[in-house]
Amino acid sequence: MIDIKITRDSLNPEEISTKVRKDTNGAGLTFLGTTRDFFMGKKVISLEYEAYEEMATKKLQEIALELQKRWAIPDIAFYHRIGRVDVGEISLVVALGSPHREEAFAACKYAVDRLKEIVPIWKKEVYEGGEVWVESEKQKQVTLTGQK
Amino acid sequence: MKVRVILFAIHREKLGQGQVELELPFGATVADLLDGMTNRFPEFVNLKDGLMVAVNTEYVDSQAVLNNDDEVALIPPVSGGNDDRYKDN
Repeated sequence: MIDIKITRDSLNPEEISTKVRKDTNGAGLTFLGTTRDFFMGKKVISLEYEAYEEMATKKLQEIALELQKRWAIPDIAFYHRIGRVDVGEISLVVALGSPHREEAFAACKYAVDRLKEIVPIWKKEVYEGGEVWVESEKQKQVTLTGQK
Repeated sequence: MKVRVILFAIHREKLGQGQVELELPFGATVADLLDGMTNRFPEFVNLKDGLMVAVNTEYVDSQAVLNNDDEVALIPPVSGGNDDRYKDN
């Protein structure tokens, strides 16, 4: 089972985790990506996620197929929120159901890393007196709006 | 031929639009398209760091040949990725 969704609605991790629970799965692993409150000493007010939805959905599907192939993970759910997300809210849920835990841990790490490399979803941090499209940690320091 | 260029995130904001139509000669490559973007939007030259390009929702390299009516997405770095392969084009 592969379940992929990019949505403006808030994410319910319990509901998503339930989707990958089966009697044949001895391990259920859920990763939550949540929005942090501080960026380089500045207080973040909210985050804005933007997606190239058609391609993002396709790339998430590819990652899910890769998890099935490499780690034999039968049940996979990827939910990503877009639009405005307030600090402390959940922007990403990865839920995996697997017969064994080792495969689930390895696959989950790979999925989140890979997602950040190839899935076209961008994040803008909005704070008092500015905003920035988040790139890598290094690039962050030179692309602050108004601080070139 | 005509291709539709779609823009996201920092590109969309800096260039002030989400979509651009570019007229290119037949046989034009992604590299030619990026040159065309720079000609039309001089500030685009500063937006190429870490840029990736997708044609009809699949990543391609700068030598990929474009076809009429292609949808070309310019993909600024996502939060973890950092690929400079188009920087010098």
